[in-house]
Order: sequence, then structure tokens, then C-alpha cells
Amino acid sequence: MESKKTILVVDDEPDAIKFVEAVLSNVGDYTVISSSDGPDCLQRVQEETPDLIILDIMMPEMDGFKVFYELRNKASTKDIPIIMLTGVADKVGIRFFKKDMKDYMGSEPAEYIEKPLDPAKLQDAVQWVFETYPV
Amino acid sequence: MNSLLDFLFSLNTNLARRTDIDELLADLTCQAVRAIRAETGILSLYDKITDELYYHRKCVSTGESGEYGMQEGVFSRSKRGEGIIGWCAEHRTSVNVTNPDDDNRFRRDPDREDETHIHSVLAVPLIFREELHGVLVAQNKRNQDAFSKDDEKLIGTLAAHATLLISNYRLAEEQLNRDRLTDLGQSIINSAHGLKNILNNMDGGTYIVETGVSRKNMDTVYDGWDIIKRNSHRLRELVLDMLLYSRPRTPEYQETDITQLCSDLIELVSEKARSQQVEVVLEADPDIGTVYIDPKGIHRCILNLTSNAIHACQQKNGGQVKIQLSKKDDESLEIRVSDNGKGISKDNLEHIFDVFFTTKGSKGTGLGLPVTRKIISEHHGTLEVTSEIGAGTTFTITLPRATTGVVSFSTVSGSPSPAEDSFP
Repeated sequence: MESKKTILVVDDEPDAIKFVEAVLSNVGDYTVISSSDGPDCLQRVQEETPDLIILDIMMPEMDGFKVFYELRNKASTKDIPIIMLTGVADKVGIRFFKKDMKDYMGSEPAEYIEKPLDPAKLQDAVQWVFETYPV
Repeated sequence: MNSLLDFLFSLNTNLARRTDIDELLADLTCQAVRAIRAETGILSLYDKITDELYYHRKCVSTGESGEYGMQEGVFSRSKRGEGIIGWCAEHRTSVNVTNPDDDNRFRRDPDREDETHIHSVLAVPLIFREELHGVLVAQNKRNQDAFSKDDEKLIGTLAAHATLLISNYRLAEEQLNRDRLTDLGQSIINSAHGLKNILNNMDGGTYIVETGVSRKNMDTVYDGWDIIKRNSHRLRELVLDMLLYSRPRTPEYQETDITQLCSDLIELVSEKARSQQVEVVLEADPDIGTVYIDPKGIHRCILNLTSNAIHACQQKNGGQVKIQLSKKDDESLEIRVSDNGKGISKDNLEHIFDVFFTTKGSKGTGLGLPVTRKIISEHHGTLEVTSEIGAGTTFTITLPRATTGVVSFSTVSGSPSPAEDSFP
């Protein structure tokens, strides 16, 4: 039997984490863990090796781009699929999308979803990730 | 004559300063009446919005010795065109008359009760670049004389100075408002982030309520409902802060027991402080007495600083926030909010007063400190900060106590009604 998949949700807003958890509970039976900031996320990833990370961009101290970069540059975490969430798809004053991340950071997330979150979009993205990415 | 010269000299050197304009204008009015030996001097300011002139300060002779005293807060308003002041403003020319009651140009309100009979009047309009700012009036030349040509020249000179002072002040005010609006414009993207987060959470709350309903699980419904309530409150706070920041507001001064205000405030934050194991203490100078401030505004400022201080002490053993009240001197009150928390880095210190700048993530609106600074500067006070990483941060508010009873000059161009500008 396939083991239960673990999803790590990273957001500095506790209410936003609850939203994502509720959406995930309607998609399937997952173990959902959460983290409220970048440094904590990087540590949790080492301990729990999640199958998917849902990462908010705008966080104090270490933003989602930096966390993404760190995750991608570590052998143990570079293959974990990441779905990024953001209130404003904006960095250095320009609109910043999935493809831009490829251009600027050499790697792109599995999906890039804008807030306010459309539950259907997140559901589709999670299903798509688990169908597409080898675990 | 020497004192007039001295005064003119100090006036010129003070032109560039703007916070003490009330005092400067009062001095100027007194010097004008003394110089031309009149009994009374009135500086009326023109309110563009209501098209009225109102008394700013009235300077009256207090005896034969040539001493003068100020009467403050005389709110007599007159329409442009009414009486001598109104006539002078309407026709934009100086007036020098004797027995004005006999002159039908200066029709007076028959109900108006004036204890002194007016036998001579000299009035000069304050005009700068076609714009009317007010009227400077001297009444009743001593010894029942009429005002001379020299008197006209003297009061004209002082009126010119008053005009410069007022227009300079008003230009600076306008510039300040423009800067603030530009700031706000540039920060729309940042504010959108805050708003979108709240909206996202409210959507989340709704989604969780719906999930609870479909599963017939009341606990889930309540969870969602709590999220909606919490975020609707956050939205309210954010929008009120944005309004508060973007509009000029005249403080509503009241005699206030500042010590009581602070202990009430500590009561308000005590639960939050306890939950984060932070102690909040008040140290008040026992003879601080009552102060003349806008209690809602100052409450807001101290609350903002205290909340920030508690936040800075998170994850620290023995976190302490101290609110200290002291008399700096007879003229000013000092409110100090200090913490032994994590401190603010040099880089961040440069930005703490920028709108929508926050290091608190979802817990900050990025408007607390800009709003605080705005309220303090509307009180003609100052807000200073010192901080050391790992050692803590101290914010010091200094408020003038002597604002008591002064008709604030900034009401000139009309202020928003208190009802729509209330604090939450």
C-alpha cells in the first residue's frame, strides 16, 4: 500500500495555513505539516522530507524566493516539488511569474498560484504534481 | 522704537521656522499695536472654504503704561464684506477711518456687543500673490487721535511680514500633504499585499465554513467563522489606519490624566503581553498632573509603540516593556516606551517610518509608526528612537504642554469633521 504523502505548508499567516489545509483535506488524505517562516521551513525539510512544499512568497526576514533558492541548491531538497503562493506576483517592481523564476533563478516551481487563493486551482495543482512528479 | 527693530530682526530670523507660528503671529500683532499706539490689535485669518474671516488672536492694552496682553480663542467669525475687516478683505485695500459707525460702508451687526467704543480703525489686508490670507486690524489710537500716514506704513510693514509667515506656513503644509499623498501612491502595491492577504484569509474562512456545513461538522464551521471575524477586524484596522494617515487631522485637545490613560492601556494589552511572557510596567512621575492633549490620538500612539515593544520581546526570557512619563521641563511632557527586546538593525531603522514597511509579516500593517509620527507632529511634538541589536529599543515622544487653549493654526484651511475621522 502506498504510504500517506506529506505536504509542508509554509506561510507566516496562520489563517492562510488553515485555508490551505482545508483545501488539501478535500483533495485527499495527506499528512499536512506547517511552518511559519523560512529558516524553520529549511530545518523541517531536513527532518521530515515532505513530498510537496506549498510556499508563500511574502514572509518577514526570509522571503519565499530565498527559501526556494536554498531548497533548490541543496542535494537533499532539490527535487522536492514546490507550489508557490503569493499575494503580489511582484519582485523588484516587476510582475514576476513562474517563467521568470526559471530565467532569474535557474529553476522554476511546479506551479505558481496567486492569492487570494482559488481552491480549485490549488486542488488541480496538487493532483497534477502527484501525478507528474516521481516520488 | 528699538524694541520694534529687535522684533523685526527676530521675526526675520524666525521666518524659516514654522512650528511656533501661533506665537510669532501673536507677537507680531502686539508689536504692531504697540508701535502705532493703538488700544487693540486683531489678526483675522481668512478661511477659504467657508469664505469667512475669524479672529486668531486679539491683543488688548491692559493699562495706561503701554502693556499689552493676549486674548486667545476668540471665535468671532465674519463673512467677507461684513464690517470693516470684511470690507478690507473684500476690497483688498487698507482702510484708515475715524468714527467708523458713521460710515455706512462698514455696516455692523446691531446685535453685536462690543464693550469698547471704536473711534478709529486701521485695517490692512494680508495678500500674497493675489491670495487673501487675512486682515491685520488696529483699533482706537490712544488719546482719541486718528491714525497717521506713518502708522499706515508701519502696520503695512508688519502686515507684509505676517503675510509671508502665513503663506510660508501654508506652502509648507501643502508640501507636506503632497509628499504624504505621493508616498501613499507609491505604496499602493504594498498595501495591496496586505489587503490581498486579508482577503485570502476571509476566502479561507468562507471555504472552511462551507466545508464544515457540507460535512455537518459544527467545529469546522466555527473554525472558519473565527477566521472571518478575525480578518474582518484586521481589515477594519488597516483601512482606518490608511484613512488616518492620508488625511490631515487637527488634534481634539482635552485635559487628560495621562497616567490613567497609560494604566488603562496596559490593562488593554496585558492579556497579549502575558501570553508572550512579557511584563509591561508603568513608571509615572507623580506630579505629572493633567496634560492638554488629544487623548484618542496619544492613546493610539502609545498603544502602537507598546504593541511593537511587546512584539520585539517575543521569544525572550524576562522580556520587559516600560512606559515612562515625566516632565521634561515646565514646557514639555516626555513619554518613553522602551523594551529589552531584539532591537532594530541599522538598515531597518532607516525605514521604520516608511509607510507599509513592516518586519512583522502578517502581524503588521506597516502603518503603525507612520501614523504615530503623524499624530505626534500634529501635536507639534517629536518622536525619537534609539535601538541596539540584542539590547532593545526606546521610543521617546516629547509633547509641548503649552498647547493649552491655543487655537490651532492648522484649522485655517478647514479640518475634516471629527465624526468621519474618529479613531477605532
